[in-house]
Amino acid sequence: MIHYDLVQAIELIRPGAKFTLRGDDVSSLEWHDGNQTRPTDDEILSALQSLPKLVSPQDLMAQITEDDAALIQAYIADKPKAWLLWCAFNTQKDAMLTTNERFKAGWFTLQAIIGDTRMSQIAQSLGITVNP
Amino acid sequence: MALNVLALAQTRLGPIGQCQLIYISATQLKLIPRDGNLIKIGGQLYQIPAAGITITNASFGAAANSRIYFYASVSGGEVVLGAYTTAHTTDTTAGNVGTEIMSGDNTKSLVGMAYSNASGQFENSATRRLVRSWYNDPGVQFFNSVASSVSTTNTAWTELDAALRIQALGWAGEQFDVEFTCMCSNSGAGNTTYLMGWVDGGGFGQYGFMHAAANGYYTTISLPAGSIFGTDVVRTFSLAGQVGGGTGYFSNKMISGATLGR
Repeated sequence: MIHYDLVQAIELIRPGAKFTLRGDDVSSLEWHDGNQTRPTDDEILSALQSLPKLVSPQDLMAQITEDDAALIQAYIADKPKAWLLWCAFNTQKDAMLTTNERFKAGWFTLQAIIGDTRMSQIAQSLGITVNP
Repeated sequence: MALNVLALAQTRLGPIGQCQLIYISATQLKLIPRDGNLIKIGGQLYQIPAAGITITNASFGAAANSRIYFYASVSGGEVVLGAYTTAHTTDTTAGNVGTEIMSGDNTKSLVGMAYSNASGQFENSATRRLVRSWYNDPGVQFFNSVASSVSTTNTAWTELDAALRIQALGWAGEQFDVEFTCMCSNSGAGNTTYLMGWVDGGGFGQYGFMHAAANGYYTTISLPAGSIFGTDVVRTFSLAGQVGGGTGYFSNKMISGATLGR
């Protein structure tokens, strides 16, 4: 589905531009727009990196270590709201968009519990960037 | 060799032109006997050998991207094939009336034509039907499909995919039917995505369109069309699309067609 990601990336950096993209090769981009300049291949690839990505709950759960789990259990023990959020995550079946507000709420709560270093490691393992 | 009157009577002749020019390879064509073995040249009947008569692109130094006519003539009493760019006409000379000949030279009878590729070679595939016989030509069928996705935000017609192009060589007056098919969608609900056959670099026939019910909902559009080859010419078939708004998505592009005979 790289084709559709490339289309999204182009639309992200040149909103409303007129273009035609054929297949998965960014060099095939045909530019019809006289008002905006054609983005460079590097610009498009850079925009591609910032597109929202999907994360499956199973993949995220697989990153949690015993130490992480101990911190999480201690944190949610006396915080019903955090406990609810953790339960919601555990019952989530579909992949989650990293730009979704609910996902971000859970992500940054988890960051507060297990720390920046661990969350950076997890983000790197999953190949995602989560922006506030 | 020429036939005498008695032999002619004995053959109980049907239509003259008992042969067919066929594609053998990128470098060879062959005139083979078909429903008999006689051909009329300069008002006389001659026999085509059972093994046929082969002509190679090297034998006449085929130019790139050129229309070539093949004529049968007689040399040393035997039928030979030659390649020329000179057009053909119908002979009105007594004894040879109605035979298709090289313009200005009725010692040469037309047997077929080809359109050379960029390498000066012959082609005959589902996407490039570029060899035709004057006699016993069954017509050609052509087909191409490309699954890859194309997206456009263009509000003017744009050719969707050069990889989908089909080239077919046709005789003047020959009819053809063609169907253009594609799955279409749009990024925005209510937006319109248009599809049209694209022939020889321009719109062809009636366009079709779909209104997107929602982002990513695909509709298959199929557009039948047809026409004739106005001259002995190669026609290039492709697809074009445009949008009324949003981003139009096109995939599973397909063109299928056939000539119906001249």
